[in-house]
Amino acid sequence: MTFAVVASALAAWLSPAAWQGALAWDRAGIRHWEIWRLWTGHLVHFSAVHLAWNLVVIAAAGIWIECAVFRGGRWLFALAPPCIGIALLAGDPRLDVYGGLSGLATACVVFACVSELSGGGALKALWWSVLAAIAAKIGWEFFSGSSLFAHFDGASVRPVPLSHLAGACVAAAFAIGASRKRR
Amino acid sequence: MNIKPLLSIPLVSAALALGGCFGLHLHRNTHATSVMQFLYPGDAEHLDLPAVPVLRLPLRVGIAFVPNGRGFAAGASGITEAEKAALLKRVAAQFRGLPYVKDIEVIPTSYLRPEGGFGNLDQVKAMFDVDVIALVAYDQVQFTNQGVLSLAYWTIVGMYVVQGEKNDTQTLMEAAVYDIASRKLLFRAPGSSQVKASATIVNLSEQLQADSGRGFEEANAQMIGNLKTELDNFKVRIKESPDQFKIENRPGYAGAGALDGGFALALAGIALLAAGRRKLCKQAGAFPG
Repeated sequence: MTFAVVASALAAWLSPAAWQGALAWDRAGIRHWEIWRLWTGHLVHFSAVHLAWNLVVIAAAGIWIECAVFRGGRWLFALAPPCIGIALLAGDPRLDVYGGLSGLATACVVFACVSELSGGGALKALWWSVLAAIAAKIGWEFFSGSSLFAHFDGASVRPVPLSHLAGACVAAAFAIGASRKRR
Repeated sequence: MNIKPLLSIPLVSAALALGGCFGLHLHRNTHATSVMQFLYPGDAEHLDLPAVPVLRLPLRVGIAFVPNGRGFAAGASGITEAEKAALLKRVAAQFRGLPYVKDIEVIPTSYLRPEGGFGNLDQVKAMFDVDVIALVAYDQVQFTNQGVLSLAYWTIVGMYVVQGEKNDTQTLMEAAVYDIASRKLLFRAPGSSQVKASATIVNLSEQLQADSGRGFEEANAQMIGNLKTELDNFKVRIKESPDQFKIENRPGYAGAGALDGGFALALAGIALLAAGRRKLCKQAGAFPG
């Protein structure tokens, strides 16, 4: 699953601009029932650096989820993208176009951390620290109005912390739901 | 006294004059449009002092072929409206999908008047709600006489020496991208093509027509490649010369989910260590604590 996501993002990056336009999360398009954009929008990136860092995180977190065989991992990959997309539709009415895997990457890391915590065992402090760092980063992005770290070439493209928040919430819900089912 | 330099002046003049006559008596079919003639008709001295363009992102872009100048008969353009639309759609595809381009509108040539100038562009801006327009001009020459080797003549890109043999087709295209409100040329991208003669006396007119179409296709493809490069250069210019361009954001915006280097590396490092630990524990048959 991780490989498929990484390969799809690379393919989207290498595809012509017109295809990328057809894949991107686009409010007007989604309103015209171009529903695939809720999934494929996450695969579109606006710069090579944007793509590279998102891929680094999603590849590592995906390997973690697949090695640990956390329950619900595949469902997370399948359903988190549209959940994040719908959250953006509802939560940021000024957002016209969106692209990037970071919402899903954040979801993967949060999902793995919560799954580790709900599985019991040691290193709880580490998983809590990672969750706290992610929460702090999202909080800072909302507070400062810009991304703490990300930089874009085009002044028109702005970071969207809501995608990280939505990804984290969806992932936490998935992990908690899966752990309750296990019990 | 050495008279060679003195003699050389009239000799060169005569050669140039003969060259000019030679050029004037060539048999060639020319189809051409000009951005300058469209924007500044009949007034070579006219000067619009460009203001600092305010680019409101994401941009609404229009794209259109420059209409033929006055005096051209309808249908004498060498390219049909349907062919123009198809070529423009390919150019438009280059802009579509860019995060800083909201819409791209292909504007039919019928909305542009010959020699319409910026007044006409203002009307197009209001009608199609576009901020920036890419004006595509072209110049196509088909040589129809024997033994032509080269010819210098004024094209859309200035004086241009064209290598030509009988029935060759030379095509030049140029996209000039203007900010309509400020009258400022943002960037331009040319494209060219040379289709070698392949016609015989039997199929001459059909083959010339086919070569004409192929010339437009090839020049358009090259122009699209150059547009990409020029667009990248323009983005660099905007960054390097903030006093020449003002960038503003529209109420709606394009957004991205992004993780920067330090944070991404830290998360990836922890994730990989956790994955490695899981794998080691599985191999040892123990649940990782």
